[in-house]
Formats: sequence, C-alpha cells, structure tokens
Amino acid sequence: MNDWLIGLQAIADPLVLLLILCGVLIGIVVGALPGISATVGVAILLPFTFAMEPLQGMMLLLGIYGGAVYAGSIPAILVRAPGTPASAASVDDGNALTRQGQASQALKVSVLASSLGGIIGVIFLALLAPVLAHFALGFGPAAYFMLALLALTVVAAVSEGRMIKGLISGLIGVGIALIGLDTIQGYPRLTGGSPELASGIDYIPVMIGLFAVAEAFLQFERKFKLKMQAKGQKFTASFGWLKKLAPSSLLGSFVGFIIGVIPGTGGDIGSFVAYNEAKRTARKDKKRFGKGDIRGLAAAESSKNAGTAGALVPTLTLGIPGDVTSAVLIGAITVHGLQPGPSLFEGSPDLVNGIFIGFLVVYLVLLLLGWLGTGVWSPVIEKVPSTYLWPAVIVLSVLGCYSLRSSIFDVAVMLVAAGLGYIMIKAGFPLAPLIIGMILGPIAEEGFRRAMIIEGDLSWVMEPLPLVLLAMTVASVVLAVRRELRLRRESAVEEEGPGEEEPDAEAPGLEGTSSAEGDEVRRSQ
Amino acid sequence: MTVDTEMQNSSRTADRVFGVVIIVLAAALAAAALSFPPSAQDSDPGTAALPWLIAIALAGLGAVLVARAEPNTVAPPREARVTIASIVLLTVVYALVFTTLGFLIATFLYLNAAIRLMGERRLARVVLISAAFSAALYLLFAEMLAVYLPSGLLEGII
Repeated sequence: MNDWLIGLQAIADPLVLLLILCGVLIGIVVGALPGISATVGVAILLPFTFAMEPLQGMMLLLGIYGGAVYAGSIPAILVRAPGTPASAASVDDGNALTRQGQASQALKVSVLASSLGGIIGVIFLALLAPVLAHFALGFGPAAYFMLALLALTVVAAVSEGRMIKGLISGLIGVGIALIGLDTIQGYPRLTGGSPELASGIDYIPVMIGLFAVAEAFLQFERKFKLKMQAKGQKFTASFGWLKKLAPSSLLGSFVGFIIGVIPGTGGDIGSFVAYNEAKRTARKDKKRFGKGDIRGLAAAESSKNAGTAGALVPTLTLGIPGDVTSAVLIGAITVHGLQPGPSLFEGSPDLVNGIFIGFLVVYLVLLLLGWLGTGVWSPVIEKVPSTYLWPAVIVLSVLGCYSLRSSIFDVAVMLVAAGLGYIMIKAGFPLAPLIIGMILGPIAEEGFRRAMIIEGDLSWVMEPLPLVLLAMTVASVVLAVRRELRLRRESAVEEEGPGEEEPDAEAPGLEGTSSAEGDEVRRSQ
Repeated sequence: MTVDTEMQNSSRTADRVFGVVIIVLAAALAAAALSFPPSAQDSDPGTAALPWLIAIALAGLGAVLVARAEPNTVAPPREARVTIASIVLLTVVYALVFTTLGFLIATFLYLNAAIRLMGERRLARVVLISAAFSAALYLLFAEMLAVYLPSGLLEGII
C-alpha cells in the first residue's frame, strides 16, 4: 500500500497534472491527424522530456499515447480513415453509424469505451506488473533470449499478408543493431573504423526517421486534405445504453490488455480480436455487426486502449517493448540513466507507481475532455493546416535527434532512416518489425550466447520457462503461416468485402486484413 | 491519383529489384562476417554467428521475394517527383547547415522553402510563420528546457 502513496504523491504535483493535460490534448489532435500515429506523436515530442524529471516526461508522453490511440478513431468513425492503425477495427461499425446520422453517438461510444478500456487496462497493469517484475528478477539469459525471439516472431507474424516483407524488415533491424561493439567479445562489427559507429546506432533517430520524417515526405507527395463533418442528431446517454455497452466494453478491455501484454503486439491487433470475440458472443443478433452496432465499436475501442496499458507490462518489467510506441517510452526512461526492467521496480518505486497512477489520471482526463469535446475536436483537427504541419514535423524531428547527444551524427542517421522508411512504405514493407528487431536483436544475441557460455550446450532450452516461451513462439509461427496461406488462397479466389464473414476468431490478431486495408484507405486518399 | 492509374503503374519489377538488393546485402554481410574473429570460449557461437544467420535468412527471403513478387507501385506519381526530390534534398541541406548557420537561421530558411513547397503561396504569411515557429522553438528548447542548440552565425548575439 505504501507504494501507492509514493506514486500518488509523485503525481499530486500541479506541473505533472498540467503535463498530463497537455499530453492528452496534444494526443487527441495528433492521433486524429492522418499520418501522425501515436508512435510519431510520442517520438517527435520525446526531446521535450529530456530536460524534465523522468516522471514528468513520462506523463507527457503517456498522455499523448493514450490520447492519440483514442483519437485515431475520430476520423475512422467520421470519414473511414483511421488516424492510427489501432483504430482500423472501428471503421466498419463506427462509420456505418455516421452514415446513419449517429456520428455523435458513435463518438460518445468511442470515448467512453476507450477510456474504460484504458482504466481497466491500467488497473491490471498496476496489479500485474509488480508481480511479474518480482518474478522476472529470476530470469536468466535463456529466458531473455526466448522472450526476444517470441516478440520478434510475433511482430513479423502480425504483418498480415506481408509476412515475407515483415521478416525482411525485422532482420534488417537486427542487422542494423549489429553495428558497434559486440557486447560479449568487444569486437567492433561493421563499423568501418568509424568511432561514431563503434558505439552503435541509437534506435530513437532511426525510429523518428522511419515513422515521422518518411511520412512527412509522403505527405509532400500527396498533399492530403482531411475533411470531417459530424452532422446528424444529438445524442444523450441513458442507463439502458450504458447497460448495452457494458459487456462488450469489458470483454474488449480484457482481450485488449491480454494481447497487449504479448511483446510486440500493442493495441493494433487486440482491437480486431476483441471485435471478433464480441461478434462471436453476440450469438443471435450478430448480423448487425459491421453495419453500425455500438457493441462492436465498443469492443474495438475499449480493446485498443486497454492494449496501451498491456504494452507497458513487458516494457516496464522486462525492458522488452510491448509495441513500437512503448519502445520510445523506453528511450524516454533510459535517457535519464534508468533502465526499465525488474530493477526499476526496486530502485525507483516513485517512478513506477507514479506511472501507474498517472496513466490512470490520463484516462480520466481523456474521458472528461473527450466526452465534453465530442463536437469540438473534429472542427479543430480539420483546421490544422497540413501545409505548415509537415514542415514543422521535419524540423521537430531534426531538432529532436540533434538534442539526443548534441550531435549531427544522429541527424544523419535519422535522414538515412527517413529515406529507407519512405522506400519501405512505398514498397509495402512494414516498419514496426525493423524497430522491434533493432531493439530485440541485441537482447536475443546476448541472451543466447550467455546461456551457451553458462550451460556449455543447448540444455537450457529444456528449462520450464524457456520451453514455454519456445512453445508460444512456435505456436505464433504456425498460426501466422496458416493465416498467410489462407489469405493467399482467398485472394486467389476472389476479392471479398472486408469484415463480412470471418468465422475463425482463434488466430490471435491475425484477423487483420482490414488493418492493412485501413492503411490502404488512409493512403489512397 | 486515382486507383486506375495506380493499377497501370504497378508492376512486379519493384519486388524483384528489392529481392535482388536484399540478396546483395546478405552477401555483403556474409563477406564482412568472414573477417570476424572466432569466439573465445568453446560453447559460445561467437561474434560472427548472428551475422551469418541474418545473411542466410535474408538471402533466402530475398529469393522468395524475387520468386513470389507481387505488383505494387513504388515510383512517386510523375507530377510529384520534383516536389519529393526537392524536399529530400532540402532536408539534407538543412541538416548540413544546421550547425554552421545555427538552429535559428537554418530553421527559418528551411521552413520558408518547405512551406512554399507544400503549396502555400501567401509569401508574407510564410515568412511570418517560419520566423515565429523557429523563434518559439528556440525559446522553448534553448531557454526553457536548457537543451543545447547551435547558434552558428548568431554566436554571441543570442
């Protein structure tokens, strides 16, 4: 109990609360803008946190994270263009409601379910993380190797319909991470004698280049203009309405959290799984799903935000990012000389518990702002002029990379990554595996080699924990391959309408044809 | 760009080219790994093991990509080629002069050019917004957040 008081004390500071408020506001705006996902928002605002206390910085970033993941659904509901990938599952039902003149109701469902999902997720996070962190103290190199391997497979496996390209992207990430001193033998790999390369390539500039600047370049090519109109009847919530939403929102929150905990997944996939689960459990009247059912919307919405909290579980307890956005959060913690992992829970209880309580406050603030501002946000977001926005994004990216170490080298890395990201997006290579590969490659290699040195042979594979993780890795590969084969068969037969009939809900997260498709919707406009 | 033209422009060539590039990369990595020292301990797979693994896997995946190439459009639409080339070049120049000109001047000039490239035609507005944005960022970062930013030409003045 004492720990919670420490956390509460850390949060009960006017500046921290102000930062949460700013974060949520910024998050809502950037999340709703097409092209700026939660990842980009958090990455380009990371430099603002360098001069802050770790907790203050985390609160700003978590506010952006929660707000952006929620707000991605605003354009998804209004114009079928998800602002962030996690909102792709909300497109069908949300936009159907809009077309029926129920935009206001859909937006209220979205904010209520997102906040509820976030709140439930954070409560689970706060209960589970300390236990897991304690447990993780006993993790040896073998467990870390297997965890990293699992996350790498999952992230490549969820690149729906583009598994080959996902794997290539992940391997390139692992390859980039080779550059620099090998942690065990101290041998400089692929440095070409350059002292800058010997210390390795930081993943933050790579991430900013890949996600933010590459997207900015694309926007110069497209000159996208967002038009959102929220016409239709006013909506007032009633008790019966809440009662109707409750089961699917709770279901969505559970599913979203659990899937979010799996390293490498985050909220993007959970929302599809939750949507399908809600549809499956609706039994007799599932026909309305996809045609404007508020239960389907609530499941997808609650799940994506519960996933943000779930993603923090491996991030904080193991230092293994739950998704790409939480990888930036790791950067925000390590920049202050702290290391996410079991020791963080012992060494900085104020930070850890402050994060739990602060993230809860984020979702309370989001509920308040989102509910009151349902009608306000879309006109505001519509007015953000892309003409000024994207040049500003590039400037912030350059500034951010420079300020990491006051060195133009990181800016150069960022620019190379931006060029690479631009080509990768155009050629259909998913970006997330590259970053996850870059972070996890070294963890996997070091874990494997240390385990081999300690044990002398491969016998560590048979220990309980590594074995369980290995089984999960194999299962995710099998499911992904099955899904991939089925996708190929389906696309070979004919192009079917999205989300019409999807009987198989067992393959976790691999129900994501529409995720890639949501991306297409965004890109083709 | 409409869906029609996108379909017309798309071909399997891009995937095949990327497949070959990836195989070449894999070969280069393998070649580099040849000169890596052997491991110091018997059971340690050594510093060259992971590079080899990546090289083999990448080569295999590259071959699959060549064999199962799918149609897609990589080249930017004709009318956007000049714009995209200009913004990339402009950003590289911005990074090159970032320390010599200093943050304020470099950012002001970059924003002027980039915003106009984005299609804004009202010149006074472009200049005003560029100046205001660079100054605001400088104040926020250098003054309030105490992040070091190069002053460049304005060394000693600000």
